[in-house]
Amino acid sequence: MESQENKVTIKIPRPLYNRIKKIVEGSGFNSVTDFIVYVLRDIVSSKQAEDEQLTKEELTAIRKRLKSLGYL
Amino acid sequence: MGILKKIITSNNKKRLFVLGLDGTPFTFLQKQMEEGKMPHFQRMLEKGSFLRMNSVIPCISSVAWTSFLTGVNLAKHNLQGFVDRKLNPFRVYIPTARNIAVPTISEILSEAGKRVVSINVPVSYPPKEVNGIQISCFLATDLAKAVYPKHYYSYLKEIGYRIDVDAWQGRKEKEKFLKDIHYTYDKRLEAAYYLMGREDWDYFQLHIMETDRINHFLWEQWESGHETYAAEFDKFYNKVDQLVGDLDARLGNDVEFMILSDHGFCSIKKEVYLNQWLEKNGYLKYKTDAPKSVTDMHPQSKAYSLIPGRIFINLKGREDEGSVAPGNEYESLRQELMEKIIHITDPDTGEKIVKKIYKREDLYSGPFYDDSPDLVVVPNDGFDLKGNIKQPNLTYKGELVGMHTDDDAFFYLRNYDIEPQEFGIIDMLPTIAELMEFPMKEAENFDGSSVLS
Repeated sequence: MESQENKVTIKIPRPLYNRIKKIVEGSGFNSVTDFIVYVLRDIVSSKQAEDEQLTKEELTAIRKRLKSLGYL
Repeated sequence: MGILKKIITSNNKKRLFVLGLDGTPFTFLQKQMEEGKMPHFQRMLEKGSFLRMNSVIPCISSVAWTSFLTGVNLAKHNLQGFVDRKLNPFRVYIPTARNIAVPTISEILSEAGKRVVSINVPVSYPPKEVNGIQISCFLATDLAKAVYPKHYYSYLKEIGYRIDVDAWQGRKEKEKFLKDIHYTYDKRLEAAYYLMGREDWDYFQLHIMETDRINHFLWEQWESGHETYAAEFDKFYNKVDQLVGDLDARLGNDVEFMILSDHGFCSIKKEVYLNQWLEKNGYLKYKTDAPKSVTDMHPQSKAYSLIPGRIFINLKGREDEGSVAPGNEYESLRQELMEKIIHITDPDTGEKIVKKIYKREDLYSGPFYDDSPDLVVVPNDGFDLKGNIKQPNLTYKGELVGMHTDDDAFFYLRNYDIEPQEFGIIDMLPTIAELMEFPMKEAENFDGSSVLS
């Protein structure tokens, strides 16, 4: 499957895995993998900062669009 | 090659086409059909189920469609509004698809090797690398960055594809706005038909945003029978009706066909600025005389609001400069606010503004529960709750004439006879899983259930 080719395996210590597993139980995340991917994405995106996620021009244009619709 | 691929991918499994008509109310469609203005849709009623559906609370497209795409409430998917807040430091930002914390239907199906096409669906910017094609929604402002895979960009550019209308025109230049609505809509369909003919797909979701846009700026004119714009409004929805008929003819009976909206609409009597109420009643103060947003809130503030009707308590230990202690102080403040806010009236007419106020524990559960609003105010029809702090008065009648309602979305499914029931857009992904005969491992996390069973 094409999507599997886009994935890699990363090893983490089992005690850490077990601890995350406990956190994930009943949290609403489907699995340890989903949780880790979310956390990593969050860290990577906050490192990029929001103004890098959206360029300054994009941000201005989106703000204008949302404002015209009364959402800002 | 194309034929071979189709045989391999179809594998006797059900395919599904979803047509999203943003902000098109159930009761509006009923009325248009009764008046004979939507004959194709009328004909569809004979061979399928057409039902009223609930939206989500707060009732905003980005939240509602994300619940559609993920099958979960906002405290699980984390898309809480067109704007949301981050703390430490306190700031207001515009969430995108990057903020969605759980897999969307396109990702779930891609993972299983199914082909997906998604056009203009909120919230799909930036586009994901799906097994298929994704053309982003109104959060994209640069078409070159809105398309996956990138090679479709040149096609879209060539046909003059447009992501969204210029809504400013809706305020002042209605003729131009209407031209833009038709142009944007026509190009969207052109791209959709092109991809339908060219690509193999198991799941195709086409999203029409122009219905929401025309409703925001011409709903009142339609409702009051304006001599020019009521007819223009009908003319546009007549085109939507033709699309429904055309898709019905194109999509053979081996494809399931679902049509739905994410919320209803009604005329705006007044915009209502809850932060003004909080300020006048001593719950909100600013650090400066000319605050730019709620982020300029004074540390002594007790509460503030984000659009639409989301109220956050300035809670110690959570907010940057919290002033309200958790426990009794927090609970009694919430109670006090609920008791006062439910009685807010329009100073001009004395009409009651608020229909209901929810505590967050009544609505949400999940990993992002702590980020969800402490209270959510649901207004009576006609009172559009805003978060802006610059309006001097509690209420204002502006250029926007239509607002969302949370209990008048619609759901249509061809070839199924569904029992009347109370359900919401959050039940759609479980429904799709059953329709496509595709068990999803995410199902145990779903907050809704299939309307088919």
